[in-house]
Amino acid sequence: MNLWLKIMLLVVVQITALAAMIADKQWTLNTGTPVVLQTEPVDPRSLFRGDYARLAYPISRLCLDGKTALGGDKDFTRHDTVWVALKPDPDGAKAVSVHHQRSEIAPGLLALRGEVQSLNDYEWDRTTNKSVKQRTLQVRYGIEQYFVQEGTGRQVERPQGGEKVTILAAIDARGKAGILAVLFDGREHYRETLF
Amino acid sequence: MNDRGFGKRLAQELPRWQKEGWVSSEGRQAILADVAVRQTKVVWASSLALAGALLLGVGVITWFAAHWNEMNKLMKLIFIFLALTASHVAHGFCQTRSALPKLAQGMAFLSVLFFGAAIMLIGQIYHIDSHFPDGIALWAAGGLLTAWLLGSQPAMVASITLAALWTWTEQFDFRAMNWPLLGYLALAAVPLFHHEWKMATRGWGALFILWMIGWHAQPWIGVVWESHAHIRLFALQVLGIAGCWALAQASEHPFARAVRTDFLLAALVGAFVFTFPDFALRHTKPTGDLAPWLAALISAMAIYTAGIIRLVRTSDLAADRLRIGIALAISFALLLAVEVIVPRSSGLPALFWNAIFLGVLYWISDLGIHHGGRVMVNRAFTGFSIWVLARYFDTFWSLFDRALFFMAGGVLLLAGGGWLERRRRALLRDFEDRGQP
Repeated sequence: MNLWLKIMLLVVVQITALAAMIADKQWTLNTGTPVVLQTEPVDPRSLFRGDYARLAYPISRLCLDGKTALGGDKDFTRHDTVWVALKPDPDGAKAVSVHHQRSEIAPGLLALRGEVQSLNDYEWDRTTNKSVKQRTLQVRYGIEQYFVQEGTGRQVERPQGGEKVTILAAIDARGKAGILAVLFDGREHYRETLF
Repeated sequence: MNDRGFGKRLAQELPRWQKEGWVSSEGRQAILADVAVRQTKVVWASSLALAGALLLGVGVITWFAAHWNEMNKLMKLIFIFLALTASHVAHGFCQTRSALPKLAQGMAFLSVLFFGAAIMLIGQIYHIDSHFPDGIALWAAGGLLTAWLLGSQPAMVASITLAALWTWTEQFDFRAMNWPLLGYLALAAVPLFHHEWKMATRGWGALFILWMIGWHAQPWIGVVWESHAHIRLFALQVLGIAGCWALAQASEHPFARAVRTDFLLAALVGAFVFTFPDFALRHTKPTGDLAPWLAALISAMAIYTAGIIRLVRTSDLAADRLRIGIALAISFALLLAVEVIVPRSSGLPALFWNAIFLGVLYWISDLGIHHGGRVMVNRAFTGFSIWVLARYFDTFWSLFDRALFFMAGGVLLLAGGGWLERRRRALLRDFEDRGQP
């Protein structure tokens, strides 16, 4: 094959692969069911670090025992794929149960796929500032990072007047999630677009 | 060797060649004149082109970096795609119009880096936060395609390095078996067979060994080290890699010649691990069903047997040496089979392993001496030195009191080490006299 044909083929294949990354993300955002998720600051001093924000959600930490225990399976190990049943709510979706298999999720609930990051036997109770025995799963959904423009992260870092940050996420048919918008007191602050 | 170095060396060597009658006086002058003309041209052209490309590249990148936040997503995408395409086109120009093969290879390597940068930037622009090793896998695949289509060894080395990072994160960090790597290895073997890239091929062998080591990080093998599963798996891997070495040793294909060095080293290290007597003590209870292990043993034994048969068929060793080699190969396989089937309960297997390890080292050095293989001789001598050190520490330590241990051991090591080094140098000198590589 001629060198220039090879180069053309290389360019086409590589750009197609990169475009597929974007298309996959856009498919999630365009076809997914919108759901509001409450956020929790990862670090109380800094929600947004520079031009890149780390986000945590109440559904990132799932209790497996005690009063707040979720339904579903209990035997998980690190890096397991989990299916979390979500009940949509305008104030923030709630996790109902957690399973190994998607088929175990009850009809009418949204299925969100995640990966177990860690398992903890003790939790830090912020109200009493004490360690409490409670088995929890730390789950990652692929919506824990959000890149913001250089310089604007600082403005968002300390919302004025105790504003509440929520995320509008889209969950597609494969259980994949993507961030559609970042909301401040319910108002869109950032909105995802293709271009 | 660089061009300037080549010209200098040639100018030093040519008078001797002329004296020997290999080249005429006119030939000598013509060779030097030709090298001088080509050398100057290449150096000037390379320097100017390289400086120009660097200035242009740095200028473009810094301009876009300064204006990155002001650009919308479409502009950013166009910039990323243009930069990637430009690096490929630059390779094409260097390869065809300007005849700058080294710069062309540099551009191919740069295009692999640009592809990685493109993945990361798109991930950032579109907030794509997926399974981390998948991004490295895509990068490695892009590098492989670049190496394949542009015929670039630097791009292939970059791709193999990325594949190593991919399998490391997948197997050691995420503790998931990286089966897709086998597909990558199979695809990468095609250009390596075709182009005969020695450095990249050795990297390919090392990547395969890394993937095998990664099995031991898998939770389904057994998190607790007391599990006999690790020993069984390790014995099977040593058997398999020894078989791969035998297959490669029996072939004269450049690909086989490049990978056999790594495979031999891996097999020797594996056998050496079994020579430790206390290796047995912690592994007394085999767990799990034996049937799958036996099936795996049959598969590994098939690879090993095929390799040994090919090695014997292609060998030109004398019958007595060949018989010793076959006996050692059978003993080696039997000991490994015992490690898979029967749990160790004493240091007795270690005694056999020490004997077989020394026998294998002797046979490898003998094979190396016979074929003039410096690498094999060096491997055997290094292996023997390490074995002496290991036995010195785990045996002498328990036999003597501390002061006597250091004195007696030190004298023995000095004498033994000196003798070994003299013997090794004498052998390598002998190779040089025989004109072998």
